[in-house]
Amino acid sequence: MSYGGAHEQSFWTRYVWSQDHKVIAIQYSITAIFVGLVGLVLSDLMRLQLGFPGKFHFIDASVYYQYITMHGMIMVVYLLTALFLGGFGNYLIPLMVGARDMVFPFLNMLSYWFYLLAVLILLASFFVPGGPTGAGWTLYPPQAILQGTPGMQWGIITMLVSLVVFIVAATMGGLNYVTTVLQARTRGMTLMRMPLTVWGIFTATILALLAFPALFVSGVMMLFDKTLGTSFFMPAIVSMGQHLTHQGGSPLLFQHLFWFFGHPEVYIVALPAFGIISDLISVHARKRIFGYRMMVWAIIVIGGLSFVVWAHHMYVSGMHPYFGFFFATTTLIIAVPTALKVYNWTLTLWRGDIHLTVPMLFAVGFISTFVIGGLTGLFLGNVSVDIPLSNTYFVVAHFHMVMGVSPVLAVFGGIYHWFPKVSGRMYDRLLGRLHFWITFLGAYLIFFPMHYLGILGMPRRYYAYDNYAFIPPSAQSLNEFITIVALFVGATQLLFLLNLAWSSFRGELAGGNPWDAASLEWFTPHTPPGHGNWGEETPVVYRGAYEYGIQDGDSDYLPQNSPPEQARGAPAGWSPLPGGGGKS
Amino acid sequence: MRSSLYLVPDQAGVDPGVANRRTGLWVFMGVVAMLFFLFSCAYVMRMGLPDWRPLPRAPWQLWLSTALLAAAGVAWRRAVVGWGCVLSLAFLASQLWAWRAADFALDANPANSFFYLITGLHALHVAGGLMVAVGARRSQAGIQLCARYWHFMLALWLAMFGLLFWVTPRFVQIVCDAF
Repeated sequence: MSYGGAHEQSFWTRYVWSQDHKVIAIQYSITAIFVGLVGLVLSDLMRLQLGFPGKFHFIDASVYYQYITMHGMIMVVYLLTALFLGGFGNYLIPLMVGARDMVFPFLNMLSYWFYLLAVLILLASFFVPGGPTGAGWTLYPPQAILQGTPGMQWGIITMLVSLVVFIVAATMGGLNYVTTVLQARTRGMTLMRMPLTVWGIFTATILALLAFPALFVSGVMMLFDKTLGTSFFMPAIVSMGQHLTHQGGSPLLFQHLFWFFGHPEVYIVALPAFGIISDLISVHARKRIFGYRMMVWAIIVIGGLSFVVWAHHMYVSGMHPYFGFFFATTTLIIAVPTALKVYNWTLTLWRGDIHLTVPMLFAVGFISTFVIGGLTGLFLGNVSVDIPLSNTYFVVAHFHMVMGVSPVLAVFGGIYHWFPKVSGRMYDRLLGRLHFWITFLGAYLIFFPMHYLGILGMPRRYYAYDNYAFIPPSAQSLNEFITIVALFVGATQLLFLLNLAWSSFRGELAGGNPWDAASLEWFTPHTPPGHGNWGEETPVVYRGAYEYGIQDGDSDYLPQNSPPEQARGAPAGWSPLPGGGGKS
Repeated sequence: MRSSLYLVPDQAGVDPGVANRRTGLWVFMGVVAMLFFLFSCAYVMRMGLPDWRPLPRAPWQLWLSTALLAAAGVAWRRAVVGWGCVLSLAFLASQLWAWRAADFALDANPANSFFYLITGLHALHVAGGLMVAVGARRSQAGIQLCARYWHFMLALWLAMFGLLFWVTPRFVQIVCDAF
């Protein structure tokens, strides 16, 4: 039985209206990377203004706020969420659990087209009268829909509509990912034998399914306020000397709803990154992941806790002190399972046979940036430390280290790691290494100094910093330096795209399993995998995904799907079944 | 769903396509429950402010809607597809009638706005269910999944109906004081 040739497929059904999870994953990834490039250009434009204020006349204050807003929203939602769940999730879940496709392929296709529609609506907001919204990515009312905020005419409407469409897309995708993991695992693939990448994406998807409704609720209610004159979030207000008709709304209600979505969103992005990093480290250090079960439970505990910490984004909103105490406590508790994951990665590296391949470089880089960003998170999690720092560059530095740079490093590592499977070819290693070092060192040069700017008291979100007595001139030189590095690092990302584009067609052939990895996706009969993924039979799984460091002739690992009788040379007392810590 | 895609039957005697759809439906109902739970939270939080003006008496058409939705659920359970669809459409029409009869000014106060928002979104979920049901009606298992969804819609409606007209600030205060 051949799955590729079972029915005639034209170019259109194979690559455009495709229901194959791998094609959809690539569509998702390309769209997300494209819109991410837009976000990157916006950040460089903002840096131009901050580094050389007033030199670029087209960046006035309104435009600057529009850049801030679109950069934030694009990077968090349209790039990272879509890439981790729609890109990595779509490609890896069926291959890693041994399924032939997602369980609802048609819904999966719809999910991509809704996502594309959301992206197009978002980008259209650059061209509507008044331009995109400049309300900041948190879109706080009442200012988001009042006179004086750029894009209050059409920009805010396109933004909210785009978000609602995105949520529909994410829900359709999410139903697929969760149901596929629950229902379509192949024989022997118990939950505790799944690679941590699948665990991360699975848990993140559940968070997305439960958290995005909060954004949906707040988005729809704000749309009502804007277009139908309701007062969900709009108090009685005097704007530009005029009494508005709104009365009795609660802006704080929006903040609660938004952050009930916004905090899990951090982990929707972080958990897949955790999973990917675990896999990368284990494969390239040739060592079983340390504490597999602990890693799984840490993912689940982090996911659960992420729903009870949202108000730590609202310490400055004037909440009851006991409330702040509660949320500070839960926030600090999250550090425990998170630190546990970092220890386990480090202990996996400990005395491992570390191969500093490009994906491994990115994985180790991730640990570094994530630890730095996580530690400043402990500062900000405390109410008394957060209140003075909340409106400064310290928060910008923290946020970008932990949620900007770290997940992006995981994305790069993941793409380099699975690129040979997706394309069948190897990327250019030299370009890859160059890309890593410039990005990694550049990220530190850009964001590390911002901690100092923040402690100095430099406020974030400002368009210009003229005539503030407490900001010394050296802060301006530092800003210039950051801008120059940011432009350079931004341009370097073209190396990455060039490398992928060139290597997809001209790279050396990689073979089916270039990393000697043990998880299922490397054992497809074809590379790149054909429609239906597997041959006549789906694979049967006998152990966890991390059986490395078992020397047997040339091979030092055991694939998940090689039957026990082939597991020759196993150490005495070694039993093939409870693999990877997976007694189930 | 092509059965060739599932060479490993996961439960003896159960078509994996049905098992998938059943799981998918449960997950979806979880998402919808979360959505309406959050609307309820927003409603109750708003109610806590001192200027809250509750909704007037429920228009009687809403009781008719409740009966129609319950009847539609029974029709799906009995696998009478035609009646299931007709009663659901009648439910939507009755909701629209209630909207016109109630004639609360949408933007007059938050309670009115919540009324239209929540009933409207619930009606959209019933309408969406009808669209999916057109595809699902061909198999017995699909019809039973429709019945499950309609029962869920009824439970959700009863919760929202109760929330909108019988949960008062005083009631919320009593519940909050109990903790």
